[in-house]
Amino acid sequence: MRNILRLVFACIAFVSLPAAAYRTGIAGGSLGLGNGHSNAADFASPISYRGHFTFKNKLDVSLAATHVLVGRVYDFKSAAFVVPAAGYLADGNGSGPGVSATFGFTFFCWALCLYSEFQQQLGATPSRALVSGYAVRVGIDYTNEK
Amino acid sequence: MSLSVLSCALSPVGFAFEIGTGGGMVTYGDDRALPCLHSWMQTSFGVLLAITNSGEKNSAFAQQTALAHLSYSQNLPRSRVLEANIGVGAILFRTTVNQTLPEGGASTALSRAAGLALGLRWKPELGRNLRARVSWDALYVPPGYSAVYLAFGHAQSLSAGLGWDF
Repeated sequence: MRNILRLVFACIAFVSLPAAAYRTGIAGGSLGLGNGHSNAADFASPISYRGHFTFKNKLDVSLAATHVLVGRVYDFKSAAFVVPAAGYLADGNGSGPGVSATFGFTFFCWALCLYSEFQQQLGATPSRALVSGYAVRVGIDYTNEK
Repeated sequence: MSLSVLSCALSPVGFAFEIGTGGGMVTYGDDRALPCLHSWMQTSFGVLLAITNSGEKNSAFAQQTALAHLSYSQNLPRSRVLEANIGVGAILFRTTVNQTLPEGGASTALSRAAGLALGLRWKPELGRNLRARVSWDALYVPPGYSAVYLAFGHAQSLSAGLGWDF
């Protein structure tokens, strides 16, 4: 698991180049793995974290132990954002293709931005088991937006 | 006829609404997808009321479930067919256990929970007043005071249907 976290950080660092990234960050919190209900927030566990980077054209790539997703960021004037995405999901039942929707709100920005998000996922494994994990996280973003 | 009259009466003040129904699947966080009936009413001001009904029955028990939410819905920026909503919602479970009680009959229990409703939908226009709608709704239920740990119960539904603008 530590290697997965290293990989996530390496990916974030790579795409954080000012020329490429518009926004990048990491969020951690509570994760529901499709086995009844979510666990309490565990910031010590790498599996709770999600790293993402958003390009200038609003394309968003999200990496976590439970998913690899590509989506599009829709920013509202109210500092809320929505990210519909599709990719590969995993939860307690297995893994397979699926979709994700992330609903977030940015609290404030001062060099870094603090935000919270609710993320839901829906997919299916090849054996037709449901992949329906979800997460509630708080995160920190770096953005080079002027 | 009466709906047409109502529509004409409301149009001078710029008020319109959409009513629709459809079907899909719902899951209550127990890894099972159940078929459901999804109905909604949405005003032109973005107020959305949606109810998702599902049920199951077997030799041991029968359960009827209603997942409802009242939300504010808004188009995603620069999109005419994608919408997101935020609001409050509730789940009602009515469970009848098919066992014979000492005094006779079966035992019935009603349980409920409320929380934050979030949703995303795709609603292309099919005709002058006809819209298709694919809705993906979720309800995050804080279990008591443990919201401080970010732990939430979760239910979500995915449904497709047709709506009519009045």
